[in-house]
Amino acid sequence: MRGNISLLFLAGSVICSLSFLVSFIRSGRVRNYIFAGGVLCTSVSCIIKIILNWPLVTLFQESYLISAACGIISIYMIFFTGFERVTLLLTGLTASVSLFSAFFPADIYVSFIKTNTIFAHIFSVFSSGARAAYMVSFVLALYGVFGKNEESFKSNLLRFNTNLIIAGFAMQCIGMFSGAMWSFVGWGNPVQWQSHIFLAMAGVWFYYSWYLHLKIGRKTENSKLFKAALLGGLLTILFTYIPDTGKFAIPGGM
Amino acid sequence: MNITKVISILGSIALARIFLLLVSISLFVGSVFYNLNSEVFVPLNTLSLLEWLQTYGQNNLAYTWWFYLFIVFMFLLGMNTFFCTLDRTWIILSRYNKLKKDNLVLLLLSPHIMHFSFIILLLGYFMLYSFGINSYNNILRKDCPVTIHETDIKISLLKFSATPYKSRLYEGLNGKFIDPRIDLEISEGDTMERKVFGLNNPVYFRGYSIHLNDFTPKSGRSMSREISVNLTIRKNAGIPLFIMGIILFITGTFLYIIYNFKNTQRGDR
Repeated sequence: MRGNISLLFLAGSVICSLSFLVSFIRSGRVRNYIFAGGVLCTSVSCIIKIILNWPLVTLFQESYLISAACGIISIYMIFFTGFERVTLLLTGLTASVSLFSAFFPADIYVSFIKTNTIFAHIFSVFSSGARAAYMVSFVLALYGVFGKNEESFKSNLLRFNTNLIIAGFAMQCIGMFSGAMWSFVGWGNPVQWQSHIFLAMAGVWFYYSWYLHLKIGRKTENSKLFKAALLGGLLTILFTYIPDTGKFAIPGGM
Repeated sequence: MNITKVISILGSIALARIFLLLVSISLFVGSVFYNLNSEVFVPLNTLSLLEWLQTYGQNNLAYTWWFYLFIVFMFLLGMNTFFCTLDRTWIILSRYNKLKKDNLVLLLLSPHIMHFSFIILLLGYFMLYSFGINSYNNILRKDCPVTIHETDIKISLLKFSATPYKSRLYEGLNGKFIDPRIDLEISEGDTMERKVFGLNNPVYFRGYSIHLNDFTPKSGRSMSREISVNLTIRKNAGIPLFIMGIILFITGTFLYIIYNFKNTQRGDR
């Protein structure tokens, strides 16, 4: 069963990559629907895994959840906002993150029984959603910094990007505090010194607190905010996404 | 310079930005050093902050130097947050009547609710790591009750029950007990209470929280049929503070999101 779930995720990643390649030939509806199909596959694969392993949490499932969440945020942007221009970058991000997660899996360990609490599930899902929001904000910032666009478009993009970061920050707060509650009910201590990712996640949280304080200052230029979001996304990828992936393996044990 | 001016400088956003960035950098650096030598940091799960700083911290400065800087930056950030909250909350409350008309008081206070709860969280962490009673590996068996150190509180095991788990994803988990139900009797003098607890389901008695750390038998197929329960016992004023801080922070965050949403609708940046 686990092999089939991995294959479904791989299929989704390949479809997302296909939509990215289609972007170079033609844009528009066809590309968007192919992309939506890919995201559907990766998301369904994550949901099936959560349901089948309930009430336990699958260890190191976060890289898959991040890929699916990147796709869902991208779909929202492509279909429901006026940011058609960034579609190439969004499909590119989702495709590369999904493929990387599929070929470098870390979910090879059996769940441990202390994950049997709703706090563990909230922690896993929300901290992944937050990282996905920061990673999408990275590609938007990339466009904001290097793209040649009129100022009004950049202002709109920055407003959306900041809202995305705020949403990510809120999700990270919920995830972090759920993690603390899980740690308290399970081990009697709200902090568990078990993995370096927890320090990096705290670092990301303080970084985006800094970003939000930067945003409060009305004098801060748009370009500076884009650069700050760019660096934040890069730190998120390097310190909290890549360490959550594993060694190279063929998905589904093919 | 009058006191208001001093508070305003100490609580300035410019200082907050500097300290936030320094804390963030120290944590990223910390994650690298943790990865290089995690064994130095794992004892932080059981030792108090002072004990750890005097032992593992001092003896492994090549890996732990960032932690000392982190504490200093956190202290400075905490002070800055305190003065900022004091200053801005005072300004908002002094305009209470005007802001009340536009239903803006709570929304404008939202960042300061987050700031205030951040201070509570910091205090909670500090108390958690500095004071309180932490007792690990208290082995409880049917014929062998546990007495909490320097008290008359006695914990006895009455009953252990569990249903074997059937996993649809991992064969290795089949037959394991993932949700044991343990009946305890906790007594102190003439007072006696029966409580049920299990994994991720601690019991509370006279300010103590009692957590299930481990247990045997682990499954219906276990060779050992002797029931044994490993307890972690804690009493710490930092825990209620910490939980209060969490609830307040999340409330503040959601109010801030509403505030930001309203701002966006108005067309502000």
